[in-house]
Amino acid sequence: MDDLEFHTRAHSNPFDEDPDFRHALTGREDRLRLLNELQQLDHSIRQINRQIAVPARLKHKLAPPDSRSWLGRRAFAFAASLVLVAGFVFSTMQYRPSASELALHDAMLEHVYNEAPRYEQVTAPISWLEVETVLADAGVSLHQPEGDETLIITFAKVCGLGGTSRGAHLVTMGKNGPVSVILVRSTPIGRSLDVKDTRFQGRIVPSNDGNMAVIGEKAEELQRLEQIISSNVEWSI
Amino acid sequence: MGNKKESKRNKMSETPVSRPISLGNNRKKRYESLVDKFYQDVFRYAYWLTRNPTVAEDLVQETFLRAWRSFDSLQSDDAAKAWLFTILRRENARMYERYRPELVDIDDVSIQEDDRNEPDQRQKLSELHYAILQLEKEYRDPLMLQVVGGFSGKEIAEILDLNNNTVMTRLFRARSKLRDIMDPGAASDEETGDDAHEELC
Repeated sequence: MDDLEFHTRAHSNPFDEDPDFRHALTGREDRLRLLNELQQLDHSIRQINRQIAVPARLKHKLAPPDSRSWLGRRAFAFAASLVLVAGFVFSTMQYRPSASELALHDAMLEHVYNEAPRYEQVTAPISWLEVETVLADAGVSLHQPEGDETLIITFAKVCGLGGTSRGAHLVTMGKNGPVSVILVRSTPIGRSLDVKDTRFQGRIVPSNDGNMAVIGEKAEELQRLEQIISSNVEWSI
Repeated sequence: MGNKKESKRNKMSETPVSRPISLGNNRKKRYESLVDKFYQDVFRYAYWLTRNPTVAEDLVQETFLRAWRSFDSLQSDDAAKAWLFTILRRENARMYERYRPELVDIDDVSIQEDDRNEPDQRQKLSELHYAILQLEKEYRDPLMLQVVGGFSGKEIAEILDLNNNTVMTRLFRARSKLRDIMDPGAASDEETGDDAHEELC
């Protein structure tokens, strides 16, 4: 087997068990090294995959439709009616986000993941003047609160979100790590949208002429920061 | 050619074929065993496709509901996983892709930090996660089906409705690109997609 064929087959399937492929490894350290590297790549992808948390109640929700009730048909019908009413009430509070809202959610989350390696390396506060410059560039302003609510910002950048919107990305320190505050001048979403992820959590909140996201690590308490930002933000005309 | 495609579709079809319907409890038990065995894999694959756990969960529920309704078209338990993934892909296209075309090429997946990993290893996994994210869908899709789904080239070809050679070429390019993103120069003789690491800020 020549090098080109080996190279192609190793990349197509590093766990190829065909005898001719295995035989092509004999006495070839360079081929073994390449194969080990490619197999390690696959192991890492599987490791990432295994870390995706499966919702705890998902299996229960997948039961066949006729086995979900223990009440009997009438009781089930009654319960179903109640569920419908409750569902209607619930849906007014937890409505299904639109495609554009989901796109904003994904863009925000993607952006936080992209920037995390950079903002995690800086912990020293930056000047408020620097923060204001970034905010102005993104078409938004934020009054620095006083007293206990004074914001200590360690990172401020103007960012492209989803390739279309321009926003300001600020980072402040929470109890469990850095917390991102992203202010985007764009059409406000209909209602607040939870950001849920295996690592991050937070909320995207419509705010006058734009949207504001406060996103921190899973265990972070974000409500107070959200209130502080919310009551101090102003959107430029 | 046409007949080959037709027979392929029949094999994975959701529409019941001529197989006799299994009765009562046997059908239910078979279905429950299927759920038990595959629901985690199906959810994780849905998560890779949609990169939103809430949407992925909805998608998985819809997938299994359809699987239950057309359970009798599943001709062999050995084909169950590929059959579920095919339904999932179809449901994703029906329910979400047409409403979210802007997300087709920027699918993402988030990973949970594993404290058992060393910081260096966590960083590498994080970088690999971004590298997978940057892959074009046509390369990412067969790669995830092979590595995560455990499917053979032939099975991937059936799921994606491609020929086997195309699948192998895409797998080759997927790994070449990943290697180049992770270690520029290591796979310099391959196509590398240098613009794939674009930064947002």
